[in-house]
Amino acid sequence: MTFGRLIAAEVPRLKRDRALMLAAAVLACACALATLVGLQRLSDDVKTAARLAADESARYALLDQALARGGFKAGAYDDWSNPQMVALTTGARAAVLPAPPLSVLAAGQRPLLPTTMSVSTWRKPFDSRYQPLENGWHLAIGTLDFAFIIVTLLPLFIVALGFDVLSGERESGTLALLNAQRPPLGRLVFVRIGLRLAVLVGVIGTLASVAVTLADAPAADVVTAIGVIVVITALYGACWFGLLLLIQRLHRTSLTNAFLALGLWLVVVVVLPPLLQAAAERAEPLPSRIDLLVAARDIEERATDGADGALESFYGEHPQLAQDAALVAQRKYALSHLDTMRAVDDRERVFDDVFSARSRRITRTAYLLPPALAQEILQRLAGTDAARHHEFLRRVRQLNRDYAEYFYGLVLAGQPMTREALRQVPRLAWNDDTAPARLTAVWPGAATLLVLASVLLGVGLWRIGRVRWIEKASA
Amino acid sequence: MMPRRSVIVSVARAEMVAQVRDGRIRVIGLLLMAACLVAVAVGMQRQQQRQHDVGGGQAAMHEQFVSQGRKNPHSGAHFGIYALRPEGPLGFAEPGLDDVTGTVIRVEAHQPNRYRDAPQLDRPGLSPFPSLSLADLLAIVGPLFIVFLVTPSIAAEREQGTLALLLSQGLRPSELVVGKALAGSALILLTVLPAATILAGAARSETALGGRVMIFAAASGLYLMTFVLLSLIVSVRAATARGALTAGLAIWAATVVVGPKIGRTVAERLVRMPTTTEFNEQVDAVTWGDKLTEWELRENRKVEETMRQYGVSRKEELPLNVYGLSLQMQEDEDGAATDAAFTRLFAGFARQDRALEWMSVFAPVLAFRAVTMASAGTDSWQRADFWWTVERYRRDLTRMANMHMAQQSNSVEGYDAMAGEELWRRVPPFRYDFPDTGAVWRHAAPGLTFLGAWLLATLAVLTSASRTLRIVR
Repeated sequence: MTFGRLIAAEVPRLKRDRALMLAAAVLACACALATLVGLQRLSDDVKTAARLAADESARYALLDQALARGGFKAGAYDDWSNPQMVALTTGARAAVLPAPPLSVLAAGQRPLLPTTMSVSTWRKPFDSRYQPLENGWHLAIGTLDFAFIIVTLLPLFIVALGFDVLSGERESGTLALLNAQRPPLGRLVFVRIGLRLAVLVGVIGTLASVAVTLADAPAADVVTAIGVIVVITALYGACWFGLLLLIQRLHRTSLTNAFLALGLWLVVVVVLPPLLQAAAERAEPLPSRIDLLVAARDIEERATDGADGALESFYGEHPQLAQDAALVAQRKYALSHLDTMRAVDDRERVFDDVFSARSRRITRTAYLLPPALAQEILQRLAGTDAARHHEFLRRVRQLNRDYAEYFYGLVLAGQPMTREALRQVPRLAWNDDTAPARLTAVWPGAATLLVLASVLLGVGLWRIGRVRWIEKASA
Repeated sequence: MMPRRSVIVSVARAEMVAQVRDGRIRVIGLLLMAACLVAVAVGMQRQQQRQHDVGGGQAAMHEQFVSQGRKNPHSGAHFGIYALRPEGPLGFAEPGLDDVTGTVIRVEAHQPNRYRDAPQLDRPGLSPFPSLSLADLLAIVGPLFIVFLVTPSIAAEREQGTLALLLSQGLRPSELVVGKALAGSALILLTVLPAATILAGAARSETALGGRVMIFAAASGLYLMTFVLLSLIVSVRAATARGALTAGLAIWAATVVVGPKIGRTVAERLVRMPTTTEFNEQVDAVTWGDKLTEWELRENRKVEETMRQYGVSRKEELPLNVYGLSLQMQEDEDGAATDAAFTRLFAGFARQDRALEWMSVFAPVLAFRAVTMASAGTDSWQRADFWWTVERYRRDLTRMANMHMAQQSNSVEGYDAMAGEELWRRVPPFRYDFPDTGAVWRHAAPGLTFLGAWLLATLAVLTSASRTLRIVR
């Protein structure tokens, strides 16, 4: 019997399968809710970014007008011809990690890590005021998004639909009958689970496409997102169906199969990922952040104490600038601030390095664990993965340094602020890849998932298709 | 008719023997037991490390503050200090919010700061379940184990035909149900007993922990018992063991896995909180903040006002340093405004937490976590309590520096006043004591009430269901 006929014969059974319909309905409700939550979050993020951009434009327009008139000087802090004063607050640059429209699919690290900061010499960009202002309990609970639905809930639905795919037939005495039919048992089972998986994937894919369309994603992103979501959901679901088939091979009762499948879900989805994360943290230990704070304060104190010496050596290197006594205090401040920033920066880079090492280790581990792999792929696709956030934080740190070096450079050189100088103030140039371009980061994971799904499903179907197994199972 | 105790004990004993003989239950039970022990051991190790880091770090920072050398008192206040939140008394069992929101607050002049340095910053996300503490295991895996253990029990008797046999021999339905409930409860108790013993040991070694451990234990008992009864209700009503297990799992997934996320969404809709940028804008709008020009103008006004007060025409004739007074004026004015802003912020979080607790009407795990976090000292309320302690410390430190500047110096030309170790030593080391057990009981009471209500409701439904226990469905 061909696949087409088998499918045609199976479709009426699907329509009568109340468990499948219930699962599809619940999944649809969860996806709809995830869409609402994702759209609200995206809208908040987009509004915030627009507000910060408008605020920065307004400040820079005012500064430009003031500099055109030679700098406004109502008070010491309004002397816009003085680069140090501009650098303090009015020249602050907004650093925003834009919310990609596809973040509607996976919140990822966005609720946890800072996404909007201000770079100036008045406040450090990593100041606590830029930490996400979320209810801690909500953060601990996590977000209901498509990534959670696919990684955590979908396997539960698959287990509920497939734990008795063969054992149920055996218990009701129809396995031998099925085996007596013309289509091989493996092919029949493949069609059964394939159609059920297709229904679940269809529900998720349809609602995901609604979500990304409502999120105003560019057309290419919409197409890519739907493609990736459908493929990843199908492959990840196939892994779980494959595992269920392997469990069926153990010739246990349906009840025991359900026990085993849920135990597996518990271990693979709930227990192993945090354990592997803990293992990666142990393998790549991080220096204490408290020690970093203590060291940073020491550095700050040393730089302040050594400001006279620093100025002296600066004048030694630039004797032509030594005449300007009015700039002594400003230059001492600039030199000590720059020294502190560079030294603390070097220390903080250690954290970046360890984080990268941990990420590499965890990514490698994820290749062995389908849930972690699926989660990683979905967050990468959505642009909410930890690596993108850390790249943002690294770039903000670099901008902070560039910004300070630019303004203090003017102070040290004794140059006033001008309209031209204002135009050259460093800013964060953040260009996200489009979703199609991001496929290059996603495809190795997807390929691994394809191999895992093929192996699990292939071995499962092959084993149940063997005559000896069927005889033993029917006995 | 009252159930007979000896019959109940017999039913419970028979059920326990059958369960223990079942290899599946044995394996899952032993795994859960081991996982609980590992979670407690890892948690305790992390807590010790954290206490060590916090103790050492806090002392080092105070020493840095004291030995910062001679400088303007206000500069000393700017140098400030960091307040490090110690791990909650039962943080090893329930890390709560400390894991996701940071435990460090910078103490400095002019502005109160929020928490920073969340461990999440250094943690590449891998899992939707980021940690695996004892509380996580009890909240998620405990009920699943109970579903495995209890839901098939009566349904399997019905399916196999032994229910008819038992009832025909004079066993009353209530005795069967109570016996099965006792067996399920005893088995889950046995599973968590080793971890519970360690908790009790912690309480014995530190008397202040006793109350907190009792609250944790009460919540765990009520929560797990509720699932035992829920599973029995399903078992009484289901025709087959498979059906019972499927229904039990659906209830577990809905109330434990999905429920909290839906509850969070509802709570966010009910109580809208400002975004980070909105909150900063709200605070900046009512404080001097970084409005440096306005700051300068206000400072000048303060100088003129003080000169009028002292009847002098030149600021050099003032007997005190007016800039110190001006700085303190800023602290007082901004302090009132930031107090209001942070009070609103924490009240908003508290309202969201209450909304989440109400959502435990659908998902008892929320009430359970509310109580365990309260008992562990890692909930929103105790984090807010720490924040206010830090803010009071900051105000004292800044006031001392500003007033020293105002009173100790006759120089009014800028910030020439100086201070040294004698002043810095007057700032005591930062110290935080967690709220006493009475306050924790009060905060845990709503959660415990919800859990109690769940238990009573499931008991009532089970009693009614057992009265109409059918041999065939």
